[in-house]
Amino acid sequence: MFVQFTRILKFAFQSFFRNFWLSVANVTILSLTLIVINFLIVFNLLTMNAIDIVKDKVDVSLYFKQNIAIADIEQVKQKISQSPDIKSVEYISSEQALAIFQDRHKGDVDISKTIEDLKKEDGQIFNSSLKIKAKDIAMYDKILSELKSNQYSNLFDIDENQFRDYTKITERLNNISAKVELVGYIVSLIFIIITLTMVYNSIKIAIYTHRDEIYIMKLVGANTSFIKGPFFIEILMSNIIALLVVMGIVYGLSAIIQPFIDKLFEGYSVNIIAHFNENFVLIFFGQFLVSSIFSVSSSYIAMKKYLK
Amino acid sequence: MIKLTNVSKFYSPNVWALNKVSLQIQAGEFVSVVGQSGTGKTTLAKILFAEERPTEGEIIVGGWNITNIKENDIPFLRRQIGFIFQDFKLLQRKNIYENISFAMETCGMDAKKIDLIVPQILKIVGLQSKKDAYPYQLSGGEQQRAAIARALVHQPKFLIADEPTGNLDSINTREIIDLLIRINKLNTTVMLVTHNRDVVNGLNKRVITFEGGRVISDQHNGRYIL
Ligand SMILES: Nc1ncnc2c1ncn2[C@@H]1O[C@H](COP(=O)(O)OP(=O)(O)OP(=O)(O)O)[C@@H](O)[C@H]1O
Ligand SMILES: [Mg+2]
Repeated sequence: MFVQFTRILKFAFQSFFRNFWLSVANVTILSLTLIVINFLIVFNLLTMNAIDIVKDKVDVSLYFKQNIAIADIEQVKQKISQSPDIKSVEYISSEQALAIFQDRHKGDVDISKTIEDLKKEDGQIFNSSLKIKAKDIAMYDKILSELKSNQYSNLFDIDENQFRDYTKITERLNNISAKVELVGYIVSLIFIIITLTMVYNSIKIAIYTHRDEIYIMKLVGANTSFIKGPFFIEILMSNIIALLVVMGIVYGLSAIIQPFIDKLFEGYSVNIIAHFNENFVLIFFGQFLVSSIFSVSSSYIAMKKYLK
Repeated sequence: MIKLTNVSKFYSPNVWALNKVSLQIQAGEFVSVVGQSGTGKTTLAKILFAEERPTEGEIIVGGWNITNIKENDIPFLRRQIGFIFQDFKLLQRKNIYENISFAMETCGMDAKKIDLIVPQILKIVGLQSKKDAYPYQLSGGEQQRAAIARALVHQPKFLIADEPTGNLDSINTREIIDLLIRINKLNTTVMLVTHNRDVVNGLNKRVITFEGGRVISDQHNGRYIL
């Protein structure tokens, strides 16, 4: 049994190197296909993160009218927090709001001066507010309508601009990512078809170059595994090499683009390499499995046709 | 050992390569098959070898009814039958030893057995000294002997030779026929398809004559009658 296997392996190696350039072409096209698929994975990871980040930024603020007692605000906060749709309600006093504003415009002399002037005239520049975050972005509409019919609704104004803006952004992101994914799927499909044709033809050629050996093998009553086995092994070898090449490229490119990703997603940690590491088996073993199944079936069909 | 009953083969409705052929070959026989070109001799050989299927009739080889042999069983049939051709069909990239060992390797024989058997077979065909030579470095007769060596790797009960001397001069022809006789004496049934009158007459063994896909004569101690 073992002897058989090592021989099949030997024949496969011989065949792989006998049609060396064909093998190279096979590996290349398999690699390209896998690269397209991995590009889709990275793209998907990035858009998902981008959408999450935008979603995370969405909130609705309630600006309380001037001189409303803290106790009342507390009560409103209490009431709102009870809703199961709400993730968090954060109270921002007028002082905090001012501090945030000042911090944001640090170094801007005009603004600082204006603020100082305003402070002298009137104690409260900013209204105190409640910042409400929903558990899910889809719940904001419901929350907003509840807030509007709230018994305390006369105490505050609702600022839903930010929510509307971000909703637009997530919609747009979703749109773009859906389109890119669609294109990605089409490109992958094209590549998969090219790969299958390529593998099919390479087996056809390999059978042709080995026609004398195959004839002799059949003549002397060789085991079918000896005739077909090497072709399957050869294709699996191409798949393994393609996988290694692609892993190299994926990790190499990821390392190169990671700094740009970090800049793009400042403050959030989006790490491509970590993503590949965490899902290593699923991503790479899965790709190997699928590409092997595809190319082995394609070889099988070619053999069925040409190994008569 | 071999029994054909009403075997016909048509490649297309108007090409009858074999037409209701019935014949028996006993174990240990040496049979010459003669006939004009296109009379179905090769077709007969191919059917015995399961390379072609009969259109009708029944074929039994060594007690095994191979009329409707399954694809998966063909290798087992072929390990019982050696086959040699006019054009030798040696692998040009392999030397003589490798040509023989390759046939054994692909049938899953273990290396020790191969190392043991190949020299023995080379001795039978008298090619010990040429084992490292490549086919193109050998004479036609030597190449045919190498092909016979390859056909013997399974120690077949039955050897089919389809015009094995067709490409050889008379001296080499003599050598190959002598070798076939020797193999026959080692208890292998031999079926020799040939056009060579001198060979057939020199053998003084059974001769089956074909014409238009039919057996028109089957004689022990026969002569070449065409
Ligand atoms: N694969 C094929 N397809 C169609 N017709 C075929 C095929 N093989 C052989 N024939 C036809 O069958 C007939 C018998 O052919 P076969 O090869 O058996 O003749 P043969 O007796 O071996 O002739 P030769 O002495 O020239 O080798 C011929 O008419 C041939 O043209
Ligand atoms: Mg013929």
